[in-house]
Amino acid sequence: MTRPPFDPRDADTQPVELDPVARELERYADLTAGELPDSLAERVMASVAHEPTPRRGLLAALFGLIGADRGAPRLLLVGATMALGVLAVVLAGQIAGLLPDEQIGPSPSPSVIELPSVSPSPSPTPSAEPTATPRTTRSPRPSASPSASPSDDDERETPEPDETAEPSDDDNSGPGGGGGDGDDNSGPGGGGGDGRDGRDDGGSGSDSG
Amino acid sequence: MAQTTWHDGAVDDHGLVAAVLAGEQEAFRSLVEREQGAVYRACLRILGRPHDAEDVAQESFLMAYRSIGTYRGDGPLGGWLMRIATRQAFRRLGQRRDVAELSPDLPIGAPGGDPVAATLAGEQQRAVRLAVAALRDPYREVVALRFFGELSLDEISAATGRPLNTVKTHLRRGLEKLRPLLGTEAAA
Repeated sequence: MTRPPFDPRDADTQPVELDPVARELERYADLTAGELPDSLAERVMASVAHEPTPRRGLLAALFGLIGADRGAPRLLLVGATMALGVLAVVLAGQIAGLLPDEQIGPSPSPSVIELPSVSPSPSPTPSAEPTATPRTTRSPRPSASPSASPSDDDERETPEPDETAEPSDDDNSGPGGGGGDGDDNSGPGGGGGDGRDGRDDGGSGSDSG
Repeated sequence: MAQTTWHDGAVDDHGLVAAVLAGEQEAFRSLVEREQGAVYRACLRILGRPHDAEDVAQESFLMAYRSIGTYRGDGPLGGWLMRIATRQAFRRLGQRRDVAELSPDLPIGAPGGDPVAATLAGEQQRAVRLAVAALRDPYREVVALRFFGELSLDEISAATGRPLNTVKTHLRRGLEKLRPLLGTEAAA
């Protein structure tokens, strides 16, 4: 293979100022055409002799590059990483499957905290009859002094889910819950390419390091 | 297939690759013997040290052997191989910079017996090497393949998969960036 001499047309409407640069590079290349060592081909073939026969295809070559020369540890590392990924996906799926339906979606519990003063019940025992008032979200435990006192807050924050489930059909009072609608629309839309798409990449950075 | 067939050059690149993939290492030997001069010279021009150049050339051939199944035949096998070699050489150069360079490079083409001239020539060659190495890709790759790897622009286009005009643009921009680094502004 012999290098064709530089032609100014090579460099796409090359200005005259670039000619000395090309000449300098050619001069350097001429000076550094060193003698080829005799043993290079033999050394290459000696190292190739220990290699398995290469296979066609990107994946086969990738596994060849991973496995050969670097030994089993790297291959094991790749396998372990893939296994961890699969395990994580399976675990996430199982966790999602184990959650009961009541816990998915809006929770009524915050409304209990918000509404203690709406209708304090005079009776110490909880009434099972449904009323139109939002007392259905009241504390399930009877309280001796239903008027809101700071010391009772702790008790009223722990409703039983089965008691609040039944009257909540006509209740609609819970401002709580309200999970996100999941409509985030936040797609960043892909970063810039690396300029290897075959097109002229316009902004060539000014810093060459 | 007879061994002489490989060395006669009667088989094209596709046949050579097919033979290597079929397990015929002699086919790969013919490729090595055909390309070793250009590969070694390119590595030497990038690295500046014969010993390093030989090492990297050997590594490049080995890497090419392992991944020869990915060669798609878009361009000449020599260009594909040269791309591997120049990348490996620049990678080695980067690793070498991490280690402190204790001794300056000697000039490769020794200019007579004058030590002053030899030192100056060595410094000048080193400046060219470092200037090209300081370029960013794809400019560095195109400049190296063109001037160090002895490839034509068509071969670079085929090896890199970029259109010819893009390769020309990359070469022009690479030379523009080299101009201040090589101190050729005054001469222009």
